[in-house]
Amino acid sequence: MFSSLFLASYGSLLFELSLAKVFSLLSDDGVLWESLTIGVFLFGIGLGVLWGNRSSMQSISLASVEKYLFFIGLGSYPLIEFIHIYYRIYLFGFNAHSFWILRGILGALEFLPLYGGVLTGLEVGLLYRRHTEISGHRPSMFFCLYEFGAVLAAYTVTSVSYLCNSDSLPFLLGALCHGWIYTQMKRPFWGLWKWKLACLALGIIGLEGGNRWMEQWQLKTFYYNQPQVTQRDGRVFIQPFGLWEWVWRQKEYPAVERLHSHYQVLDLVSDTEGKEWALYLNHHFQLSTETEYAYHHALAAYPMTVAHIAPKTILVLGAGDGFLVRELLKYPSVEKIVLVELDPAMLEWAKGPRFSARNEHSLFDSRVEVVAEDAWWWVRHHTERFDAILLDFPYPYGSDGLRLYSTEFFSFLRHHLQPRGYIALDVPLWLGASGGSNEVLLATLQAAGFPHSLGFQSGGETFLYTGVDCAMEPPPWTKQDMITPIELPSVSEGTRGNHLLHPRVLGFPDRLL
Amino acid sequence: MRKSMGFLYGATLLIAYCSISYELLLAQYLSVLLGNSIHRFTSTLGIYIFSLGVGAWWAGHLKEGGARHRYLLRIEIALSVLGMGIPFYLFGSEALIRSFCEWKQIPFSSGISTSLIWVVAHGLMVSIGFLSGMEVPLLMDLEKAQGGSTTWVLPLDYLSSFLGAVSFPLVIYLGMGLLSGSAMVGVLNGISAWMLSRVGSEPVPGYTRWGIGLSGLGVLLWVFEGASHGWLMRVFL
Repeated sequence: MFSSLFLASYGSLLFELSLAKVFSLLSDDGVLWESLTIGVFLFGIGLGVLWGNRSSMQSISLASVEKYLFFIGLGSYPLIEFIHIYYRIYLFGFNAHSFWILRGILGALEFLPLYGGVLTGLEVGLLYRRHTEISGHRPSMFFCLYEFGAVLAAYTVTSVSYLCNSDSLPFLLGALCHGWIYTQMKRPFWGLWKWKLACLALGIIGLEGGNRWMEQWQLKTFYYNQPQVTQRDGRVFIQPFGLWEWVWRQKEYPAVERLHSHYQVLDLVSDTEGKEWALYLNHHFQLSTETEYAYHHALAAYPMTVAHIAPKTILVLGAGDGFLVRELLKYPSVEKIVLVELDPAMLEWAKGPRFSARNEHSLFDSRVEVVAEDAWWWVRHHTERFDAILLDFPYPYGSDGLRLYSTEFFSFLRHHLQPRGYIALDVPLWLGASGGSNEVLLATLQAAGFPHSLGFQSGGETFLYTGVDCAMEPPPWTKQDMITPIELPSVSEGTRGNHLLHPRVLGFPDRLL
Repeated sequence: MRKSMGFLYGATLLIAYCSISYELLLAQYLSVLLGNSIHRFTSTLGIYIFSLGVGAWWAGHLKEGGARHRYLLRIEIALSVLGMGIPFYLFGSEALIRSFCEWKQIPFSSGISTSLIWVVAHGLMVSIGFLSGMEVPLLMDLEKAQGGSTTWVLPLDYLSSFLGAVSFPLVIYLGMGLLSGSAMVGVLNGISAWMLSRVGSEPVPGYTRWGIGLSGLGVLLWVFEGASHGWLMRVFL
């Protein structure tokens, strides 16, 4: 009884948390989809408990419920992946409509946690009845055991994803738990069913292999099968390829190298020749070897030109790939660079052979101090001052990561600046067809004590330069550099910035997912 | 009797809403204090649910009978106070610990200030989780004592949790802000205490005033959110 209670809650929460993780990765809005998924799941549980209380449902067996939970656990991940592949091929179009279509699809897929929740609610009612029959009316012990299973599930989801580099394994583990309870209901553990359970476990391991193939198909669809015209070996391809053609054509493309770290999902996408590659974090483009030089050169060089200072000490937040540091080290005035990167997995890749060949082993330079730490935490608890602070975080298009673009965070940064020091960061200053001009970020900077800012662009990327008492006059534009100043919008009266305890989304750009 | 059960079920809805809101609020506050919001959500969920389990187990050890009604009322009042005070407690403690470490010249790299902040922050979370965990078993006992034959407490608990989870990102996080959200949830807990004091043939004396008073305090905090925010940020920064 106790093991069934524990496994029931463990399996159900594994299912719900895994769903929330997958949805937040596909949508890039963790706060919304994790809250929504847990809410829908709890709603489903409530419906299930209510439904189970009805006399017509008294005959339903726990074994049946466990069977359905087993199958929903097995089938959810491949179903979500397949639907996402379909969306990317037939419904995606690099515009705001695609964003809303994806949200609609994920909203419709919320039937999975709802269905799982209803079954879990039926399961809770049936288990409570059995618990009462065995040990009397003791709701406290029942809930105590049930909650402990849920605790372990919470830690399992992140640990398994990180250790086994898999999003689908927690689904299968949850299904295994329900499968185990099913076999317990149907037959006692000892006997022939022991071997059938072993077959079940082996079958699940086999399914994990199938899920990995599905994941690669989904990743290749996402990164390679995009609307474009390409030419290879004298042949012209008009993409995206249709679903069935893509099944066999995707073998021509190299595998996407995916790494689950504790903090994010890193994808390395190579071209078909294997010479150039691109880095994506949580499906968002970070850099490509074909275009990274213009980006990093602009972020390193232009602010120095505007500020008319040769910085000796530089704080770099983010940019764990080492490319920005490579550009900064080219300046002889630079004596010390402190690089604060959250993700040790990113730093490990940056120090590895593939990245080092491009970043020229910048992270091994004696002038560079690499810190694997949360930028917020580091800035809050250190007092060192710098001539320049460069920010290279993934931009918070949704509600995640707003903390690092808040008034309070920029106020902390202000205290880390030397006199005439400056801050530069990569910011999408124009937000496409959906409108908006990032007034919110400018209002945030003003509230943090940076009254004036300068915008500049290079190769389609836009940046912000700001400071308290640094020079603000853009240098004359030269064709050689291809870095041009851009006019910033004025901040309307009453525009509220993004505050730590009262966050505000920084504009609403066209989504690329 | 019907009115009494109405108050009980109404209080159940509010209590469940507040419980899930506390968990989500704490996850956000702790990511502000301790950094690393991605990990913070999962670890907060885990520790909070663990505390719920311990609270549920402890509820079984409380005295039987009418005393359990009083325990429940005291729990709601305690949660109302704690809920409204989350930001003040967390940021105030962090400022005190920082000042203490600076006074004793304890360097940040020693990890002592980090550990102390971690203990204080998680102590609050465990306390709220523990108290919240006791609620559902006590509510179910109260429902049984009032003569309820079919338990509605559990399904209402889950349904209201759904509302709390869905409303958090849009209404509290991006809409009201965390400070107003904490005040609002504290107000709702105060109202639930008032409603629970009306369950039974006679209102429980003393607790009605507590419930109304705390709700009023929460409303004041909500109204003066700007001033509270300014003071907190001065302390924090």
